[in-house]
Parts: sequence; structure tokens; C-alpha cells
Amino acid sequence: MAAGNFVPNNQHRNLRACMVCSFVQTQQKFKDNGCPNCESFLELAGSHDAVQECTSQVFEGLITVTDTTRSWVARHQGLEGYVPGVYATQVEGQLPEEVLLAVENAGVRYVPRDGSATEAITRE
Amino acid sequence: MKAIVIDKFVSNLQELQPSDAPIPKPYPPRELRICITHVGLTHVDLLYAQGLHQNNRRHVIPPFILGTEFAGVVTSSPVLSSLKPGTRVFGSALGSFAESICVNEGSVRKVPDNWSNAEACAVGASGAISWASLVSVAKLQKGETVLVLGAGGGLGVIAIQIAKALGARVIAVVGDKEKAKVVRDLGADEVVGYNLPGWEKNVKDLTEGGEGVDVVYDAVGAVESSLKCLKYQGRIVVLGFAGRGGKMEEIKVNRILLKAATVVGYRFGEQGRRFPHETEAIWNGFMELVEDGNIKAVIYNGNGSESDDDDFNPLPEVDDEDAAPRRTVQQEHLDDGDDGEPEQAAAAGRKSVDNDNDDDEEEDDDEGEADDDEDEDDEEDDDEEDRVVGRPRKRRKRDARMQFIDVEAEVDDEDEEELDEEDELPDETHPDDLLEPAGADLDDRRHRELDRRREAEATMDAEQVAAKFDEKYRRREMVRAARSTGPAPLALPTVNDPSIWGVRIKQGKEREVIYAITKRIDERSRTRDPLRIYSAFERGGTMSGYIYVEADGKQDMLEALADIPFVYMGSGQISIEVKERPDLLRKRKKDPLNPGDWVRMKRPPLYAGDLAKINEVHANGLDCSVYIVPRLDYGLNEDVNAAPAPDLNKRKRAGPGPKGPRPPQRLFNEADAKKRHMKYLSQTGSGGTKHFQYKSDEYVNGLLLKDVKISHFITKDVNAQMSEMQLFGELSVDGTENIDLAAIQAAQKANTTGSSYVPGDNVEVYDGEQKGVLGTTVSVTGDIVTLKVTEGLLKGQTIDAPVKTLRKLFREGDHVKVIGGSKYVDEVGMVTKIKDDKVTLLSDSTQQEITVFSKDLKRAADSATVGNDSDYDLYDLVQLDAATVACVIKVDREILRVIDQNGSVRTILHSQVSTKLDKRRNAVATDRDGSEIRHDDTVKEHGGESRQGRVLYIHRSHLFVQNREQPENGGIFVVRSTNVTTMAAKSGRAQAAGPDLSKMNPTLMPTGANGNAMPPPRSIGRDKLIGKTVTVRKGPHKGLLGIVKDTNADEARVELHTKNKVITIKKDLLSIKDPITGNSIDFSGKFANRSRGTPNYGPGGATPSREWSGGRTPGWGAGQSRVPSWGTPSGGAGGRTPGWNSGRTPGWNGAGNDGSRTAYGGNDGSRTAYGGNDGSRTAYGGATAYGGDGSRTAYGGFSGSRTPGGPGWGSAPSGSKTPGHNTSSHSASNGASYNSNSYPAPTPSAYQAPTPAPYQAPTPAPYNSYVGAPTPAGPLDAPTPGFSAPTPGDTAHHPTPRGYGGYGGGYGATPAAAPTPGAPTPGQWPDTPWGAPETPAATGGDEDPRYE
Repeated sequence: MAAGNFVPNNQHRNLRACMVCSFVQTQQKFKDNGCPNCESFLELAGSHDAVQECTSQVFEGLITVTDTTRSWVARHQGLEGYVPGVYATQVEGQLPEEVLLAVENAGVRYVPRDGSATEAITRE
Repeated sequence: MKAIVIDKFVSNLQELQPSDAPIPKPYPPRELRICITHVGLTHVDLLYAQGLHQNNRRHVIPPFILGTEFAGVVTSSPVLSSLKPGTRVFGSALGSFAESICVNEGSVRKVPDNWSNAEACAVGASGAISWASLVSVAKLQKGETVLVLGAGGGLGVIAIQIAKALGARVIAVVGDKEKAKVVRDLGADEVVGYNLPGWEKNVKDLTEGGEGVDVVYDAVGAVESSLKCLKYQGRIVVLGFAGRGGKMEEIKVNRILLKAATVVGYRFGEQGRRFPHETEAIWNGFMELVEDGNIKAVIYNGNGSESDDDDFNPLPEVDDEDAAPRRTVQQEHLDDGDDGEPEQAAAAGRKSVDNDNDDDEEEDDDEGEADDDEDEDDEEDDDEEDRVVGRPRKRRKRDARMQFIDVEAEVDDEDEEELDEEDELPDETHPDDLLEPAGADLDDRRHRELDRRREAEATMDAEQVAAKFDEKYRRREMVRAARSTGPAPLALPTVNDPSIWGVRIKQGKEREVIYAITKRIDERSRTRDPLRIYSAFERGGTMSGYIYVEADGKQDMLEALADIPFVYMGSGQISIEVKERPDLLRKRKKDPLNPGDWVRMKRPPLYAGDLAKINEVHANGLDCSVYIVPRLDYGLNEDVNAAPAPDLNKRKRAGPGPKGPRPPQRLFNEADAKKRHMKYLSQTGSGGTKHFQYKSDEYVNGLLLKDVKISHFITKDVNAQMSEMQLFGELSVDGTENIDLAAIQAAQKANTTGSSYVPGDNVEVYDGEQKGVLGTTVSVTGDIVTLKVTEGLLKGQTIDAPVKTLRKLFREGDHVKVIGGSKYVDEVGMVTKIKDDKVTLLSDSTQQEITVFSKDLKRAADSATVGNDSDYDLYDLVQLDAATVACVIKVDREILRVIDQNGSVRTILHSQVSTKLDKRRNAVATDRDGSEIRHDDTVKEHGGESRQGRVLYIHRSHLFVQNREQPENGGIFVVRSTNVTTMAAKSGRAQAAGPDLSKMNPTLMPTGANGNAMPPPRSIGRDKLIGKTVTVRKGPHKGLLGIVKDTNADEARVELHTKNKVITIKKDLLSIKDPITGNSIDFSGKFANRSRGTPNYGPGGATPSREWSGGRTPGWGAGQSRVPSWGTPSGGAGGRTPGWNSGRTPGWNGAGNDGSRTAYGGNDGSRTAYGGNDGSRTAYGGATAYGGDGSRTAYGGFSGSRTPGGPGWGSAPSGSKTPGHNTSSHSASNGASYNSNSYPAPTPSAYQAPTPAPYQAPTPAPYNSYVGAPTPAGPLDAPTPGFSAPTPGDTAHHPTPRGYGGYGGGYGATPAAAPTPGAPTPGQWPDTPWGAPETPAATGGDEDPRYE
């Protein structure tokens, strides 16, 4: 359990969401620790620019999840296997090309979190 | 005639009966009338009858005549048609189950000579389909082997013959022996029964080397089998799945690979829609074969086919009469009515009996679409069969298929056009029928079945369903889970998943609550008692005031929320149903932002609510640069003394709410910025563009270019107003991106709101689920329009639809206007063709046909008239800014087109008009000749294009002239008044319309210049007119003699001698007669004794004013005695006259010249002044004329321009008036010189003083003279002169009095100036006027105001 998912009110303005996994935390935490799910390929920690590029402060809906496998909500959101914590339902913004490439190379099927993809995927 | 008319849809096909219907009349230009000999019954017909076909929604609505296929004989045709009466034709069109039909020529084809009508009817469109699929698609070559599945069917029989004709070897697959015989007769080389297991092997065995066939013609949907029969690199043409009863085959795709097979689908109908020319070629190709005699129609004997239904399918054709008798067995129920009419019978019979031909069409399109639903149907069919009684089995089979089709029909919108459908064809029936016994007898019955089944399913154990789904989706998920990120599509909730509860919380605290829960989760996670919820979430904007908690049990959820602030536990928690859960997480797709889009700012507060335009969207999609109209005060309101530093810090915290009112929106102004903030300003742009860096922001072309986050503005409901956008337009002065006003305007019109619909409009829903519904609007509420459906299944119902899904329905011939969406914006034209939502119209302006979407059209009823929501009318004169006026030459809803005073035409917004100017009735200008121009005068341009027209407006020296023959600018052009000549004047219009002039200047009135001034004296005592004998000079009573009985101010009641009637008539129109002699007595003459006698009379001051005020002078002239007296010194008051002249004239001059004063100055100063005035005097020469009476002209000459003319006059008497006028006109030029000459020093006051005096003085005089000095003179007149008197008194210390004296003297003292017999006159003069002065003296200083 990742401790410290809590963000006090006065920090809400600094929240950002990862564009890949939609994990939400403060900008500072992204910078300090990176994204708990995507750090391996996004390498956000320590890079202000990377944080700016790969996370978005425009997101909507907060989900706090304790069990990303058992929770239907998490599954519906494609959060299965991610760490428990706070996620966004919808994240606006687009990843830069090179990041997309990195994501693909990491073997992760990237689905935009901005709502543009839901229609397209539909049934298989 | 007899026909099967569907007045309303039937549920039982047996109810169908022939009835009487009117004989159709051909629509002249292109329609043929055909006497029907044969009809084909198709499945479509059955659907039509029941209202189950998709076309029943729109195209086929009761009442209509059933039937779509026919053959017959042309009985009448248009002159130009190639199908002459007597030609046998076949074709398809709605309404064939009748004795005759009228159709478009294109709907029918000639029946080949070697065919009977029956055969033609039987072949229908299936020939074309078979030909196309074998020749065009499969490219069947001579010598190849083709396998025809469903060979006994309507398509199959033709396909066999085509294949043979092409020289191919044909293996036919059929289901029974009879059909086997049929196909052999048609030329099939080999026949295989498909009801034997392993028949595919049989097929292969029949091919060379057992390799398989080259081509499979599959109309039944047996691709798997086809593949088995295929040889390497073979081709399969899939035409339909009629044989599958809706259950689509699953193919092992590897077989395609192994065989290197080509599997091609072919849709005849769709193909025809997409590539119409192909259809023509196909028909031609097929008909060639027909003509060569290669094709023969197959008509099954009804009985036969029925008896053994086991075969392959049915057969196609059906025809009419022949068929009818043959099928009598089946027709039992129908027969009754039909006997009389062979055709009818046939039709009816077919209907009930065989569907064979028919199904084709629908299936064509349907095929691909079968879904799971249908599976169920099929299953049921089986059970049902047995119940059917007395119906041929075959029919039942059909029914099964129909079931399938119906469903399709309702789902599939594609075929809306009947014609299209008819072209398409069929598939056939096939083997599968055998396997799946058909079920229900009637269609509706199938439906009922289906319903039942669904119900049953619904009640199925939810758990079971859940498990099923769960399994289904789980599997998928597992596949994906490892790697996928992002939303897993269709991760549908199941009953096995945790429950979700919705909990009310305080609005706006959603995030806070979620984090509170998160905190609790964190805290408890390390204890032995973690929270047992799985997740909690909120959807901020979309479902504010709620959070949702996912947990296994309610208790867990309650525990998690206990004591969390802002959570309203008391209001209960809503358990969210399984099927609703996905909605909770539905994402809202945002429309992508595009440069050029309009948005409305939310932050920063300074610009909140302002319109902005996106300049660029940054790659991450989160930031944009936008243009905003800046709100800057350039430091003008800064408190220079404020300590800047702390302030800055604080402001950051201050949050929203800028201090004080925010500055107005204004384009960036470099000059302003420089005033106080030079240090912040730097120019970054180069060349023509204006790029500035001011403070930390960038300004481009006056607009602030700012980077903002997309969350800082809203993109919906921006509702940009013209006035706002206008600023953005101006910014790009250099043309980079000027706003096209007209386009915006059009776009706004296109952006329809409910208000553009009014009850009674015909509308169509063109988008959304109810697409295609036609109706009439009933009411409009906001953006929701309520409409009453007028056609189709929903007929009569009332539905609501959002405005944006509606369009007005147009009909051919409507006059419409393009309002957006294409380059044709604003074209107006007449609708010539409507296809789907595309409307073709013939443009009025270009006479070309253009095609646009109907949503981009609006009815152009208002195009001819001005938009009624404009405040301005055509030809209004409007003020644009302080210096500019313009005349409206075009009015549109948002914009005006105007021509301004400089003649330039511009397009402006309504909002740019500062005010509308009324027409000044009295506006006067002078033309180049000095003639006066008034409204509505006709003027002609001098030089230039010599345009002429009617003066619409006079604005200063500009004339807005209208010439209706001039097309541009609404016939308006602008000229300077000095560049035109008055046409009317040339033609001799009485320019000397004295009265108008004086009316124009109110100051003249009190002077007694016109009749109105007369009353005072008159009111005293009895009107002298009363009792006089008069004649009427004008009007209807002209010439009649009468006696004045009574008078009031300006009217007299006259008792006519002739008519014994009393009329009321203007005094002006009367001339007084001597009752005895009948001679006219001059009015003045009448009082002449008095007036003459008195020197007062002399003070022509009155006279002139009279003259000027028009009419009077002549009157005077009329007075015999007067004239001379004026003209010559020898007049009655001989002495006076000269005095008058001498004194007067200069006086006049003075007044006239520069508005009078000058002259006076001259007067009192010295004669020289007069000399100086002489220039004007000359002009007065005119004045001389005025002795005669052409005073007008004199006037013109006198004051260089118009304005002064009038005022000039008025000015004379009124001290202050005059100057005003002077400035404007005359004095400007002349006055200057006068000034220089004539007065050295005199202060204006000095001038003023005299001015009135002279006038004044005379003025009263006339009264006196008129009325008779004694009486009225005293009290009434007194004031007037009185004023004048004081004036000089105070103001003109020395000169004035002098002048006065000079004047008064002029009269009396005139002599000074002109030595004349002044003596006597003055003597008297002084009495009246001079006496007066005392009285008014009191009021001394008033004069100015008074005069005015």
C-alpha cells in the first residue's frame, strides 16, 4: 500500500494526473517519486519537463482505489494491476510522440485517457 | 379499377382484398400508363402490407396500392418516349397489384420478344444480378467450372443459364429431384443434392481431377461448404444468406488461406446506388444474352413446388395469371373475390401463396447484418411449424425468413428508396430450409414469438446471465490484462462485482471527500482492520454533489464514510444498478480545439467572460495561445505612491476580484502605453506587423496573445456576438485575417435556435434516433421543438426533438437561401431536387445548379424583405460618428450596408451606428447657382456623370440623392450641393417661396413677418374685414362672392351670395371687393387711409419683411398706391419713401451683409461702412428687385450660401441669431472683409445693439400702419420696439444711439444718410417707436434673449 496518497486541500491545485495510467498526485510528488505505475518508461522522477509533458493538470473525476483487481471500477478504468491510490476518470492532454514510442516499447498498450478512445475501441 | 389498396396496415394477410381504386393518371412529362398483365409477389409486398418494412416509415404510407413487380402493356406514353403504346414492358414500382399503373419510364424495360410477359415478370431483376456476379465479379471464363448453390432458386436458375451461355461447366446443387430436373433442363451439366451428407465431396468428384470448382455462386450463404468444393485459387461470390435463416456461418478462415480463395460479396442494390452507370451496363449485358435466346424464365407450377417442400428453395417466379389458376389449391382462402379478375386473382393468390420471388430484395441488403437476435427466432420456428394449418409448407418456410427480414427491415435504414430496392435482388432460398423447418404462419406471429422469447430471457435467472456475461468478458480481459492500460472496453459490471452506492455530499467538496476517504484508507491499511471498500470516486462536473463507493457490503461503505466531513449520510445511499454502472464512468469526449475557434475565458479574472480566439493549440493539448482583446489601463490608474513590492505579493493571493472596475476592452494602443509605461514596452515585430511586448505579455495587431490552459476557458455555448468578434476583425487591419462579416452573419443564422421554428413548420428529424421522422412543429421551448409526426409509424404522435437535429423540410420549388456550410453561402435559389439530405437548387444569381445539405438551407421567404429584427430601414440616414453620416442601402440582420457622406460604401454592424437621424424637414442647401435645394427636389450633377435624382437627404453640403434607375448602392449617390444644379429651379419653380423661408426662422415670426404676427392688432376691436364683400381667390369656391360674417385669427367665415352658404376660408384667399362697383379693393388700400397717412407706413421695415415672408409683397404691390410710393419718392408718403430707401437700404445691407451687424457698425461708424457694404449692396441689387418683389433671388445672391440666407433675415432682427448664421456662411467670406473695413473696433455688443434696433423699429411700424396707429400701437407694439430701444441704449453707448438715431433718424434721421424729405416723416416716426423705448428700457439687458 503506497502510503501517503492523501493530498491536503491546499495542494489540490497542484494535482496532476499521469496521462498513461491516470494516477493522480501532486506535481511535486511526480517530480520526486515519478509515477508509481509508469515510472519505468516515463522516467518522471527528477525531470520537471517530463512531468509537464506526461502528466496533465486537466483531468476530471477522482477515484480512490484500494484493490485494482477486485474493483470493477478499476477494471472498467483499465487500472487493473496498478497500485492502489487515487486515479482520474478522464485525463486531458496528449503525450508527445517520443513518449508514446517509449510507452509502446515498454510493452504497454496506450489508450488515451481523454475519452477520445472509448468509442474507437468498443468491442473487439 | 380493381386494386389491392392498403388503407391501413393489416396484421393478417388474409384480410387483403381487391377493392375499387381510382384509375391513376400519368404525370405528364415522363410517366407511362401500363395495363398490368402479370405481377410478381415478393416478400417486400408482404412487409408493406403489414407496415413492417423500413420504407413504411416514409415512402410507403397508407393509403397505397400494394405490389412492386409487374409486367404489362403500355397504354399511353409521353410523346418522346421510346415505349409506344402497345409495348410490352416489365419493371418494378409500387402499386402493381392493380389493373393499371403509372410509372416513370425509367422504371420499366421492354419485354424481349422471345419472352412472354409472365417470363419477364418472373426473371425480374434476378437476371441482372446473376449476370453481374458471374461476369463482372467472378469473371467466369469459358471452360471453367462453376458451382451454383441454390440452383433451383430464382437466382440460381438464371445463373445456370448465364454460366452455360458463357461456356462454363455448371454443377448445380439442389435439394430435390424435381428441381434437379428443372436445372438439368436449363443446361446444368451436373446436379448434386445437398441433402446428402458429404455432398461437397460429390461435387469435387465431379470436377476434373477432383480439384474442385473454379467459381462458386453462392446465394444461400454456405461459404464453408463452398470452400470445400473450391479448387486452389478459386473464387466464391457471396450473394446472400437466404438459406441460413439468419444464422450466420462461422468460417474457419484458414481454409481461405489453404485454398488461396477469393471470397467476394456482391450487393446489387447497393452497387447500383453507388455506381449507377454500372447497373445500366449490367442490364445491357444481361439483355444481350436474353436477346440471343440464352435465357429462359422458369415458372414453377405452384402445386408442385408446394407439395414437396423439401427442396431447395422455392422458386422464383411467379407470375400471374398463369400461376393463379395453377395454384388454386393454395389460394383457397383468397379465391373468393378474385374470380372476376384474372389479374387480381393472380396477385392475391401469389400473395398468399408464394413468396418466392421475392424475398430477394431485402435479403440483399440484409445479409451482412444478421445478428444474434435472429438466432433466436430461428430456433423457435421449428416448434411452430406444426401448428400451421392449411398453409402450404413452403409458405411457412418463407415465413421463417420473413421473420428475419422484418427485424432487419426495422433496423436497417439504408434502403429508403423503393426503387433501389427493387433493383436489388434476391437471394434465394435454399437448402437450409429443409434443415430448419419453418415455423410460423404469419409474420406477426413470429414477432409475438420473439417477444415471448425475449421476455423469457429477461426473466432468466440473473445470476445465470451474469455468469454468462462474466465468462464472456472475463476471457477477453484476461487476454488483455497483462499489457493493457487504459480503459478496458466493455468491462461490464456483473452481479459478482462489488456493489456501488451513490452518496450525497456537499456540492463542490467532491475531491475533498475523496481525499478524506483516501486518507482513511491509508491510515487503516496498515492496521488489522483495513477499510473494506474497493474504491470511491466522484465525477465532479457531471454528477456534482455525489460520490460513489464500491464495496461488497453496505456496512463496509458506511464504515468508510462515517464521520467524513461534507458527507450527507442521513439522506440515504442509492444503490446503483448493475446496468447503470458503466454510465457513472462514461467519459465525455471533448471536441478537439482548433485554431480559429471562439472560446470564452474563465480565467484570469481580468478577462473572465471575454471572447477569445484560439491562435494555436500546443502539442500537449493542454495549453493554447489565444487572442484576447486587451483590457489595459496602461498604468493610468496606478497609484504612483503605492509601494509596489508588497502589493505585488499580495495580489497573487488576492485571488479573483481585480481591484476596482476592470478597464474596458480596447485594442492595444501603443501611444497610450508609451505615456506612462514606456519602460515596459518594446516592439518585437518587424515590418508591417505590430508586435509589442508590453509588460510580460505579447500584443499582436492590437490583441493580446496569451498562453492559457484549456481549463481556463470554455468552449461550449460561447455564443459569440458580432460586436465582440468585430474587435478581432479590426485587429488585423493589415488584412492577415480580416473577419468576413457576412460569413459570420451567415454562420450565426445557421446556428439555429428554437426561435427559428414556428408552430406549423414542416420539419424533418435528420439526426439521431428519430432520423427520418417528418412532422409539423407544435411548439417550441428553448431548443426543444415539439412536433407532431405526420407520416410513418409514429403518425399522430407528438415527440420532442432538439433543434439541432431538425431541419426544415423543403419541397421542390421552394425558394431557399444557403446560410452556411459551403462556399455557396447566401446564394438564393429554387429547389429542384431533393435526395436524402442533399438539396439541389437552381441559383437565382448564377442560374447554375448547386447542391448543398438541407441543414444549410433556410426558406428564403425573408430574403426579399428586410430582416424584421433590424432597427434600421432602407434609406435611413444614420450617424456613424461625429463627423460621418451615411445612408442605409442594405439592411440585413446583423449588418448594414451604408454609403457615407463621402460616397464610400461600407458594411457595418448595427452596433456601429450611433444614432439614426431624422429627416430635417427644413434642411436647405444651395446648388452651384445659388438656388435653393430642398428635400425631394430633383437635382442634376454638374459635370461628372451628370447623374440626376431626387434629393433624399441634405446633410450640410452633401446631398444624398436617389435615382431609382441606378442599380448600384440602392440607387443612392452622394454629391456636394455645389456640384449640382436644381432641375426644378430651371423649370421655373417658384423659388421665391417666401413663406417657407420665414417659417423656417422663427425669429421672423414675431416680427410680424407673416400673418401670424398680425393677430395682436387685430384682436383688438372688430376685425375690419367683417362685413366686407369679398371674393374667393382660390380653392373650390374660387370666384364666388360673399360677405364676411365673422373672422378669427386667420380665417373668415364668409356667407356666399350664390349658394346661401357660409364657408370658412383663409383670409389670405379673400380679396375684398367694393360691394357696389365690384372693384377690388386692396387690403392695404382698405386701410390705406390710415397707413398711408401715417409715416409709419413708410418704415418699409415691415414691408420688406412682408415681402420676404412671401406673399405679402405682391399684396402690397397690388395696392395701387403702394407701389409707387415704394418705388418712387413721390409716393403717397413721398418724403418717406426715399427716407426709407436711404435709411433702409443700408440697414438692410447691414443686416444682410454679414448678418447685419457689420453693416450697422458701418452705419454708425461712418458711411464708409456702407461703401464697404456695397459689395453686398450689389447683391442687393437683388434687393432692389425687391422693390419689385423678386426678393428671393436677391436673397440668394446676398448670402453666399443657403443657410445664411434664411437666418440672414432672421438675424437681422434678432441679435444673437444673426451671428450664428453669419459664422456659418456669408460672413465667413464676406464678413471678414467687412469687418476689416468697416469696423475698426466695435465690439460685438455694439453691433448687436444696432441690429435689432433698425429692424425692430420698423417692425412695429407696420403694425401700426396696418392696424391703424392709434389703437394698438401703444400697448402691443410697445414691447417690440421697446426692446430694441434699450438695446442700443445700454450696449451701444455712443455709436448705437447714433446708429439708432441714425436709423430711427434714418427714418427720421435717415436724412443724414440720404438727404430726403425726411423731415416730415421722422416727425411722426419718433412718436411711436421712440416713445416706446422708455417703457422697455426697464428690461434693458434682456434684449438678446428676447430677440431670440
